[in-house]
Amino acid sequence: MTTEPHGDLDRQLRDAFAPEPAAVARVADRALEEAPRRRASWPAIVGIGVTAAVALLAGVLAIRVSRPAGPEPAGADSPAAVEALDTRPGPALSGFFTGGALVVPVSDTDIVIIGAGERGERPPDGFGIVLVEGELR
Amino acid sequence: MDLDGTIRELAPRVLRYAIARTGDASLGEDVAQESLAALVRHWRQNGPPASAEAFVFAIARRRAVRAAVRRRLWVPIELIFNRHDGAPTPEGRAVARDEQERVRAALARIPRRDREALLLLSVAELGTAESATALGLSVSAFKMRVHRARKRLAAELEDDHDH
Repeated sequence: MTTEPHGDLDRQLRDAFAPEPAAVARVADRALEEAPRRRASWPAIVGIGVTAAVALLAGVLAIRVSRPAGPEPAGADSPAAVEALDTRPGPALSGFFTGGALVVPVSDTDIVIIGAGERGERPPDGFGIVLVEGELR
Repeated sequence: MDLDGTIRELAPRVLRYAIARTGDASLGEDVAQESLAALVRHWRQNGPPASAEAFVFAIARRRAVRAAVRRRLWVPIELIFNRHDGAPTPEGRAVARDEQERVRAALARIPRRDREALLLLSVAELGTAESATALGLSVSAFKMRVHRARKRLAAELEDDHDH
């Protein structure tokens, strides 16, 4: 190859066709900057299409999952937030949350449930049946 | 080595080979640029090839052959290898020096197959195995061809010097 005893001949050959340094830089720069990407266009288009389709499906799914099954309950702080239903035959009672307590007005007094039992500090929101057991004060 | 470093390392070798193979600086520049751009495309799409230089020179050789064939339709090979017409450029002035002129002329006189072996191995500085692969030869057959090519080139240079 380029080692002795042929080194001199090889050097003569290389010198005979030595390119201009500016031409070398120009060739390298153009190859790096202007390499056409003919075959890259199709995969790119397909990739964009697949991404868009996945995003659309995910959006539709998220909307369907987040939509409530029934009518929207009233605000948690409003008196109509909770209906405490008596399971025994009789009229339904309405209550409301205030300061972390469920207050159900009855004829002469109120039923106040402080704390939230097993569900943590927050009283239950929305509609449902509240079973009350204990003394009325 | 990264893509940028590889391209800059290969650029002078590919350009030198392409100029020698086509006999024309401008045509050689086109061939070298197309070959390097092909490597850039391949690298960006599929990662680096097993041998970047083998990849580039395989393309450069094919394109240079096509370019040289197109040129031969118009100009005899002897004129291609001694072509210095037109406005003198720094490149043209450099290669017009007597010694370089003599080497180019001697190279043009040896058989095409021998010349191609020397261009790949000596001018492009491609490895023996890669050069052999590019020419579709075994390593031992390639070495024999290079040995013969060097003897012929040396003889041509000596004859030229004697005259």
